[in-house]
Amino acid sequence: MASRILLIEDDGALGAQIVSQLERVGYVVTWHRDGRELEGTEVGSIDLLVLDLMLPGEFGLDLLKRFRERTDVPVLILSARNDNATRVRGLQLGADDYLTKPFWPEELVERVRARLRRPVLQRSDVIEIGLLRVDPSSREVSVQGKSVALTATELGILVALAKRRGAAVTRQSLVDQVLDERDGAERTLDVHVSRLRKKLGEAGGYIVTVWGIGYRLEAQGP
Amino acid sequence: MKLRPRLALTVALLTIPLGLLASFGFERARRREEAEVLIAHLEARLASEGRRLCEESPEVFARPAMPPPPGPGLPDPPHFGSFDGPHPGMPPPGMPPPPGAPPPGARPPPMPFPGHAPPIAVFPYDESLRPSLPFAPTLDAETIEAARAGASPVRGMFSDANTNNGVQVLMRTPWGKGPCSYLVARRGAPPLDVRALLASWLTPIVAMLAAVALGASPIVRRIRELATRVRASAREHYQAPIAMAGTDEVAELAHAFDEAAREVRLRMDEQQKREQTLRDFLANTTHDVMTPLTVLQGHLSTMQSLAGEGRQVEPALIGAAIDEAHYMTSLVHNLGVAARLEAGEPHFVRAPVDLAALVERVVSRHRPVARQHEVEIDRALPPPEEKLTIDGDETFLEQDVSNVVYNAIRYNKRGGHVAVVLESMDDDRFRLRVVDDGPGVPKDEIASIASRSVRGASARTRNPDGRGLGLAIARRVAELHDLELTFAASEYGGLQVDFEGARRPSDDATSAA
Repeated sequence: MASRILLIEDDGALGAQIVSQLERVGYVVTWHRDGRELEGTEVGSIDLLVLDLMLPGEFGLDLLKRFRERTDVPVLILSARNDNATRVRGLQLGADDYLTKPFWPEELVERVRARLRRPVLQRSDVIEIGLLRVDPSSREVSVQGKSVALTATELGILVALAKRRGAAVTRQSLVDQVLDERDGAERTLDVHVSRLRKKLGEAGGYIVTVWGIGYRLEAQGP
Repeated sequence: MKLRPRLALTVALLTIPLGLLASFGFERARRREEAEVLIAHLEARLASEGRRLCEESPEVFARPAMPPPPGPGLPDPPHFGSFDGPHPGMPPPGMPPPPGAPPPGARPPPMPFPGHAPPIAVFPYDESLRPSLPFAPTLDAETIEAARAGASPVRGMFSDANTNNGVQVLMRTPWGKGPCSYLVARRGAPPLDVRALLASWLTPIVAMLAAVALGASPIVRRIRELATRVRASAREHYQAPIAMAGTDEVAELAHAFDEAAREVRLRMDEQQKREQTLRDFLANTTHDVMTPLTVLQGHLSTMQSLAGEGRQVEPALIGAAIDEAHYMTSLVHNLGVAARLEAGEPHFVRAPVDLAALVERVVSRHRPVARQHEVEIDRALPPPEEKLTIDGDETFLEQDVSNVVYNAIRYNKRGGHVAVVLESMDDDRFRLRVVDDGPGVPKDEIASIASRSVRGASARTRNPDGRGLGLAIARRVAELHDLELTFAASEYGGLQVDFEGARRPSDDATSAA
């Protein structure tokens, strides 16, 4: 079911833009131009509040404070003011994140997504990414159900990447986790990763090289 | 009122009461002395055959004992009709002493006003203080009462049609009987000599005033000179010093004026400097914002005409418009930060700043513009359970990192890369590294990039090398947060910028928990 977002934004043009940007990526958006509408909103009916601290003074922050007293639905603040005090106050009052105007639509969507992302429920140990399945405790790795034999170093690298799937992991951090300290460790790591990719076959592309950083494990490999 | 008349007035106002006081004292002394003279005169008259003379012919007795002393132009006031003004004790040489005159060798009475004294009149009275002569004056009640009470001599004053403040003395004769039981001696006050009075009072006062007026001249001149110098200095906005030679109060005043002028000058300089900074800032800001805005308007206008002609709007054109908009955003943020930095002691809002979230925001903000430049941007963060926070001003810090990241994108090549890596290090420190594979910066210029000031003209945004204001702000903000900001050539050929600093100690507790 699509996430429901409540938008409080007094500016007509900006409000309409935000609504269309969020709807385009599949969210259901309710838009109020008057902050007081928030008071009557059934909190159970929304998954995220996007609140513009548009009005001067404490008005926006007051709304936030009263809203926070009723529910812990995540709140993303939009602020035209590049004003640290307001931001800090907003975060203190329970906002989860903020976005300073001007922002790119893409930025908004990314931040909304981040706020709505729920922790993925899965068995604590076993990591499944696309065709790949990694079980750190039994040290078993399989691709499309077929077991793959890995060295301890290769397995260590894969587990380290799998634990932070989707995020870039630095070479140095991988070296620290799986290799003994010696010269040229990062080059050695690259050699291990290269072998690991080959062994993983079709899932080998999941290990993406990230320029300037290291590697990332993600299902949509190049 | 000017200084001289004021001084003169002060002197006059002080002199007049003092003079009056002195006159009053002087008059009292005169009266006391006059009474003694009259007593001595009566005693002298009684000494020889005074009683007989008086009782036999009181009129003769009462007649003035001596002719008046010669005095040029002196009037002989006909006091009480029949007698003239004698001058007791001053018989002219060669004249036999008249009857009743004091014997030779008797003490001559003092003369309060030599040469001007009117004659002494003597009148006999009987036991009941009735006058024995028809023209004798009636005694006042006060004197009669005192005499009846037994007082002798009774000193007092009298006044009549001709005389004010005359002194009179009543004395009881030793026999105390008959028509000459009491004797009264009287002498009127010397006539008021206006010329003498003027001479004795007005002359010294005038002289004194003249002395004051003349004596004040050097002071007045110095004060005028000082006033001229202060005015001249004020006309030149207190640029010229105010000084007077000498060690007197006027020189001191000049010194005080000079100190005040110096203070005024200092304040004016400060104010002017602030105003100049503000004017420069406003001018630069306007210029800096107007330029990209014009470019953006150009792009939008081109798009409009292309769309109007039904032609394809090139993605590159839209990208360029996006680029300008992004540039303007960054610029306005930077100018805001620069304004805060230039306003003297920057107003800090220190709070814990989550660096991972900050990096996420910065990277996410720059992704659209990176795509436009065909530059790939990615970041590596510490694991989520390891919260990496520092104390600082989030607006400043975010702008700081933004500037470095934006520069890495803008001055990169097509197909280039930018990586932002945040990691914790040993000793509770962290490092935020922004690295790119762009053309980089020549080694000798790296140092100059790192040392530019926010204020410097070279820091303006559209600099030939283009890395001006943003990096200057980055450096200043890093400084304010005790962060080490280092620029180096990256191993990939571009620039590598490191922020290093201490993380909040409470992070350990958070990560351990």
